[in-house]
Amino acid sequence: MTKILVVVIIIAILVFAYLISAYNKFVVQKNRVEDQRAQIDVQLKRRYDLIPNLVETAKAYAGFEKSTLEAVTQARVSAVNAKDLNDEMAANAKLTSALQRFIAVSESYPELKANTNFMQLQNELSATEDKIAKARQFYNDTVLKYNNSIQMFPANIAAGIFGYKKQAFLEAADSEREAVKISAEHFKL
Amino acid sequence: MKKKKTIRTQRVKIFKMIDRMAWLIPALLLIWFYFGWSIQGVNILEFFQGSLWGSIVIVIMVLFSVACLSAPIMLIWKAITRALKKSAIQNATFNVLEDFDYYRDKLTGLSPSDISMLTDLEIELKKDITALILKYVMLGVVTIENGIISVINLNHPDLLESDRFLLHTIEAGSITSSSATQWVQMAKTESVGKGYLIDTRGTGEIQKKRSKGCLSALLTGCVTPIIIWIAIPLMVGFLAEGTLTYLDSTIVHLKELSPDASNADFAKALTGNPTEVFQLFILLCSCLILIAALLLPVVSLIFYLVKSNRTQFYKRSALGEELTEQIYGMKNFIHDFSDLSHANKEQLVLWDDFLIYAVLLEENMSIVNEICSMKHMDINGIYRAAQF
Repeated sequence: MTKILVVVIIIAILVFAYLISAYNKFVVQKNRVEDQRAQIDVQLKRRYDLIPNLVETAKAYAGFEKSTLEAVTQARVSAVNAKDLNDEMAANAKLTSALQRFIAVSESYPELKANTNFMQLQNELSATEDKIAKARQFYNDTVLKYNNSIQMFPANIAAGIFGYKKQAFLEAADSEREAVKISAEHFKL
Repeated sequence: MKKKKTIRTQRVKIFKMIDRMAWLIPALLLIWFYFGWSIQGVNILEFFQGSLWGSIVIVIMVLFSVACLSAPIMLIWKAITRALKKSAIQNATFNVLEDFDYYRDKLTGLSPSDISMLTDLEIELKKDITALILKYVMLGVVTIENGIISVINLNHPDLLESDRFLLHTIEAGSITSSSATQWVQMAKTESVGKGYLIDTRGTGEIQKKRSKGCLSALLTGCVTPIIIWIAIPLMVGFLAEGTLTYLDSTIVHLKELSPDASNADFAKALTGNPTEVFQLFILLCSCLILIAALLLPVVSLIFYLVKSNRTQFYKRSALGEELTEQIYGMKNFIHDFSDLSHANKEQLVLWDDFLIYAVLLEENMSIVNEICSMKHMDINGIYRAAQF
């Protein structure tokens, strides 16, 4: 009887130690997911800050197509007001399309292209977009690591006990998969 | 005092592991004894059939004896591996300026060989050339098709002199040991030229370091044994009065045993008297100290020779220290926040610089092995030639 009790106590200690270590691992990995999510937010914020400056610079040039500017401004507003990360990424995909159209249209304004401020803003925007893309990749990797750790046996049992759930990946929105369509009417003739 | 951090490079990890493997020597000796005695028909378990106290004493005695026997090999092993480990750790240690754990931006302006040199003051042919080839692919300087690396544009403005030299050797068909050495030297010179590293040759710093090492070896290897040798007459006096007397009575107890006495009887006779057991331990401790005293000069000499042979001529400049901290943060970031260890070379478009960093910072070794096994890229062979 005593022997059985000793064995049970040893097993209980081992299980408890495992649960502590699994819990700590989940905490670290979930924090990394949240941290990486915050990194995306930082870059998105930077992008939202750059766009009004870019639009204002373009507005100063007479004849710049109004609908293109409005499309960018509207897409920015819906991205800023998005409720969750997936909505925000979808809105950002639309914003990217609007910006690509805006950049393509600006090509036909030599004075605008010669404006150093505009060029600088455009380069900064391009660098920020690159950072957003990388941040998304890192986010998906941290989510993958987190999901793997909570779904594998026997960690899935511990994850169930502590209420850790699967996180969603950031997927490319439909508008991101489409090529930007620019018609001749967008250009200054 | 300045805070320091160490980058956990592959070299540091390997030397730490080899250093720990020294503990296998007594373990193997123990196993060898066990099987040796078992083959000779000695029932070892019989020694432990007496009291609990007797069993504990026997275990401790066996461990002491094994320690005495394995001490020579273990100490020499430790001297070599400790020296290698210490120099690897020293090379990968930098002064902390801002104390951050993660760095997420690109390491702009640093070439793969700069990153490698700043990481541990050494160029590792296999991974560094692999990282460079990935960088050349990204720049559109080379292409990789069907396992063949082809150079297509040697005039790219981002290429350095060392890059052009390396590309010439790749284009020529194979990298030889001498061309690899020449390239390593060029890459090191470029890092010095950019102000990341300082070449300490001719400044007297190396001599100063070696003299310091020599002095510490002399202190450990000669002064400590001298102190032990001075202490020995005192020990002998103590032993003559106490231990040897009790040892005599232990031998008498053992001789009194009948020829057909079991191992359990032998253990009982050996461990029956606590005072005799205590004196026996003192004798074993003295043996261990004596062996250590005899070996210390040799061990210190080996340690000093290996360590001074690994002394680096280069050290990080202030700018280099700052950049090394970023490299440290980048390695942590890739390790904790990405799955780049599983990425393949086709994902270069997706990850660009980050995949190169993962290769350079030893977070992805599969690409290294893949590229090194390509035609005209027998870096493994050159690596072996350079090491031995």
